[in-house]
Amino acid sequence: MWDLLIVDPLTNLLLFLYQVLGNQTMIAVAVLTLLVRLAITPLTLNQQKTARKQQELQPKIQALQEKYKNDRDRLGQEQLKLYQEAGISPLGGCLPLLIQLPLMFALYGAIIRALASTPLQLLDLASHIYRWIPGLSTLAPLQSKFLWMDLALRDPLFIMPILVVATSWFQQKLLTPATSASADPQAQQMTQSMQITMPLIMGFFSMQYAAGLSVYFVISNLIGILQYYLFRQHYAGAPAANSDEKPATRANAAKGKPKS
Amino acid sequence: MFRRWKVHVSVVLFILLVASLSGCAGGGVRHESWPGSLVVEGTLYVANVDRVQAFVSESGGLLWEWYPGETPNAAATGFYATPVLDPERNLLVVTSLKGQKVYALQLGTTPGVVPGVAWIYPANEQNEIPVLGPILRALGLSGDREGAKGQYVGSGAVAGDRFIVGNGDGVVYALELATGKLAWSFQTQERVWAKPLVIEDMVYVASLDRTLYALSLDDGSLRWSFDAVGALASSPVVAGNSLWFGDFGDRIYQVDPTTGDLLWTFEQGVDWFWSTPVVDAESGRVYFADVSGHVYAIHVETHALIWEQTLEDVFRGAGVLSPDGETLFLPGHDTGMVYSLNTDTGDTIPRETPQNPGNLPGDLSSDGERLFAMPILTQDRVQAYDLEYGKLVWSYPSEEAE
Repeated sequence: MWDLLIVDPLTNLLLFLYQVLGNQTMIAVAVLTLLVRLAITPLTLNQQKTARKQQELQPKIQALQEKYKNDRDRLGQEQLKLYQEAGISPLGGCLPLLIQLPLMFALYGAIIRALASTPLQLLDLASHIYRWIPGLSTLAPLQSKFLWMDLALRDPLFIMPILVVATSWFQQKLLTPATSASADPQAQQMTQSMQITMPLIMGFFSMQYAAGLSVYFVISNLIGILQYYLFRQHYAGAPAANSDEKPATRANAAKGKPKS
Repeated sequence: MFRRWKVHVSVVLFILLVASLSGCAGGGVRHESWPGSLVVEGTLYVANVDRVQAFVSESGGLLWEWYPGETPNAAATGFYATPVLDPERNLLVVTSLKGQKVYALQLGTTPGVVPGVAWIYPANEQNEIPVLGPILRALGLSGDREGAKGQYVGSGAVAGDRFIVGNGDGVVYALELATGKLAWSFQTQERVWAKPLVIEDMVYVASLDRTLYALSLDDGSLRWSFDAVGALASSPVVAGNSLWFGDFGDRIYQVDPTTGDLLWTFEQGVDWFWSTPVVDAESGRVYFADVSGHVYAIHVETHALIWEQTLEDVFRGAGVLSPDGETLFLPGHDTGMVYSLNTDTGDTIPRETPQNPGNLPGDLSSDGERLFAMPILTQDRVQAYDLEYGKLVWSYPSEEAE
């Protein structure tokens, strides 16, 4: 079902793009990534708006936590009330992510399937091509050579993993909400840790898998960065346009010491 | 500060552990190979996953097994291609998928003796520094390493003093059978997964770059090339003094072997032709099977479509004909089933041949009395079926041994 509804359409869309874009795998992967990212942009923005609102409510939440520290039920009720007043759905931040993540995994699956570096992978691709689109089945195997790389194999020079780490880190840095000075030190530590570990994990995966996947990571990250600059007013941690309570700046957050 | 780094390191280590475990689990279950077998004078030779084995074709008794290195290592070796025999020198030549090497094994005259290695191509073990090696090479700071840079998927062909084989790096290599030295090489634009066909002084090579190349056996120079619509993954065959082959453009071609001129084309195909066609010279027919279960019988002279059959399977490996030419056996990739088709009508013949639990992607072989199949993604097995009734005669490892 997963293949039929999500991975197969993406695989065939990639093949179609390859066909109409002059048999250039790199360009086809870039355009497909762009299309998918554009398709989920409303979700991304919605998620960021929610994150931003949640961040703006942090001082009030902390006050509630302090006030009802011995009454968990009341604390929950008050937090829910606060969220409702601010127009935030408690699941608002998770739902877009639940839709985006499978789509991203499917996109990855489609790229790996279309590149088909081994005979068994190519045989698998044969059964997933839409025969009703003229000329699609004759495209395989895709041209996988690009500059120094074979997109179906690992990058021998490790340039793509380095680019993945760099772009992931920068995107992570932009998207991570700045924490206020009064925020939980454990949460601060975790946030900072994720800023470093996530790019390293992405780099690790780039080193292990086909260079085509790295291309997808880099382009996806660049689009994420571009989206941040285009729609930064929606993003948590970005300068607020009309907010009574400005979020803490990154500099403040970095300097912030936990209150004892 | 120390605490913060402790958090970083723990998160990284945890995720790397999960990633490596998931990688190990996947790699351990799936042996990527589609082994084929070769039967010569009562001996069945197979190259399967991590080793080369010889069996008594009649009984299934294991004569010997050989693997590169100290212990069998599927991750470093991986055999896809059917072994090839050089009867003149008594060499068994095998190509390693992941090891990117060609091994010539010197067969002895005494059965059961493990063969020695006559030569390896490339001859020198070139251990490259894992990360720096390719970078230094790309920067021109170290020399290009000898030998193939891609995987050997297809078999090679023995032609006189030469062993001709294509590689995943798109190069066709001609090696001296006496020494293993490179005689010549020819670069195509894509991977070469098909076994080259040699006729007299010509080598025909099908490449995934959609081109059939005709090369001089002597020096590898290009005589002519033929452009197909789709990629060419299977070997051409000779039928009625012309070359026949299918492509990923769902077409079948008949080409003049001397000039490369297109003589005839079949455009009614509906899927990729990946299995090497089967020729029946006596009846003047050629049989093609595609990856969505369609089988076609074509008359070589008249080009008439004698019959067409559709089966619920994928045909990747090559089939074989019974000695009387009345039955065509085809390996079903998805079901692991060996199909028996009446060559006059295309109807399936019910037989006892059991359905294998795994896939059957490799070529079939036969010694005239038995049919040999090698299913994958199950226990690594070699199976021999009675050619007439389809009954399992022996398997390796034996059912009892499991």
